[in-house]
Amino acid sequence: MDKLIELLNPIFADATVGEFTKDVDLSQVEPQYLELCSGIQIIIDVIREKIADLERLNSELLQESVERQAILDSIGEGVAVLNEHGIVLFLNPVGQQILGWSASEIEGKPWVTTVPLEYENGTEIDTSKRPFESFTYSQEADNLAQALYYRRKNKSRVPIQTTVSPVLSNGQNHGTIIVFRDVSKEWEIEKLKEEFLSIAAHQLRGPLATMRWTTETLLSTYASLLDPVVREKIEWVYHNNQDLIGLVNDILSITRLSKGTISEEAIPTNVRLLITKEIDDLSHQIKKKHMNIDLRTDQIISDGKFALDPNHFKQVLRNIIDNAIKYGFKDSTIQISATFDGSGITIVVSDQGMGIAPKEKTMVFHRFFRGSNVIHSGISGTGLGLYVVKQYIDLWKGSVNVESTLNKGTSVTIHLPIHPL
Amino acid sequence: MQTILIVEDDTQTQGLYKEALTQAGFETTVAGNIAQARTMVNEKPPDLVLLDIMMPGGENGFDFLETLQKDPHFKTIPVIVLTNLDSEEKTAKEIGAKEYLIKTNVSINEIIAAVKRHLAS
Repeated sequence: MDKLIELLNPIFADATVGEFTKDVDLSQVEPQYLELCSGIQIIIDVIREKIADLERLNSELLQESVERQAILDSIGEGVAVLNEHGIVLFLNPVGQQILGWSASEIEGKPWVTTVPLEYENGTEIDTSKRPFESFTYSQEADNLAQALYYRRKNKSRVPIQTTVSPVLSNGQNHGTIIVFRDVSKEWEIEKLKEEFLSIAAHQLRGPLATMRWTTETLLSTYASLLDPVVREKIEWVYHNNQDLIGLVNDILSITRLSKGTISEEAIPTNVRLLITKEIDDLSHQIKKKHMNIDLRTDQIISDGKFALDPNHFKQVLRNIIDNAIKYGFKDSTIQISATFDGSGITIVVSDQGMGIAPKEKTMVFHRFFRGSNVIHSGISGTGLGLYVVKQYIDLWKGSVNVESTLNKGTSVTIHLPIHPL
Repeated sequence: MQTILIVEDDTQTQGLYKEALTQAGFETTVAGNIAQARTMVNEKPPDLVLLDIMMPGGENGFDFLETLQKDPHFKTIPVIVLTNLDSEEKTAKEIGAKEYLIKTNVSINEIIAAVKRHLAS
């Protein structure tokens, strides 16, 4: 027994410190202990194999980890990995460069309070609305797609574009991956583009106004001096000028609406008056196509006033009514109704005309969209009208809906949640 | 006869305003820059001012509007802003403009109607 203990002691001593290098010298074992010692040797062999397996796995994992790290480090965008509690586990070098935080400084800190997210006007987005907390980024994406800034460590701001994805496994949330990009340069280019568009549009307005008033003066003050042929030609100039004015207004609106810098001046406005004014302005086109306008408004719309920006509201009405005239059939009737139903104003403009193909209905609010049936019809258009309408209606938190039957007509319904003053 | 001061640098636009206002029975004076407008107001205060914002010579329409509002003699003169800019309505009204019209979006008759409306009130 003493001999056996002497034999096994160094082996067990090594085992206590995780060493399994020594073998049991079975040639030295007394026969009655041979079975026991053979068993111990088998256990040592199995442990060695397991250790070798673990070392190989560890080496593979290490290699994988190095590769992953290298990938994350070489991605040209900022990458932050958060755990399920929103704590930063990792921030890649590009992310560190964008935000001014080193990995060791930010790792372990809560992301939302360490990296504030702001709108362009400096309003900080409430942490409860930060997408990775609610995991509803796709639902909020529209709201967050505009101008967003991260506040850096040194408190300066950086415009960013970001994608936030939850890490889900079997329906369980294991954390979040945030990929973000510094878009300062893109914004600078975008800003220059917008400034150019804005200046160009404003510079166009001067001559367009002069042209409008000159043709108006010729057609009214000097009407008696005009030969019918000359008069008709001047009318062409007048109406083309009106189209160009509409285009410039649409371009300016799109530029401002897309940047969220549109200036709204809501004043007490009579909606019926605005509609009739638009109909008057478009009376020439209406007469030319021998169309009738059937305008119906209820008492509140006829007599009441609503807080609206009349210029912008007129632009919306104009784009809708102008479409009804352009794409309505000759000798047809355009029905316009405006009612207040307690929840807001509803305006419906229905024409009897070319309509929109069913498969294209979802595209009517896209920028530059024109129906396939009108592209070769010779009817001029920019495809901006309904896009602008939708942008304004969204701004006013209303809704707009288009119903259409090909070769029968189109009906545009807008609803604005506003109440009479 | 009531006098309208036209503050506008574009000569064609000046001519169109002038013609329409004269036909509507008003007397008109024209200033092509803000310095000239100041002189003309001091010489003979008009009954109403038609004012462009973007003007040559450093000062703009807002500077002139502020001058009128600060002077008790001129404060009551109604000012209609007629401009190509569509983002300055709030500022113009805060300074004291009675009405803010975007040039391309109003007819010449609407301008005359606005002039009459503000003179009547």
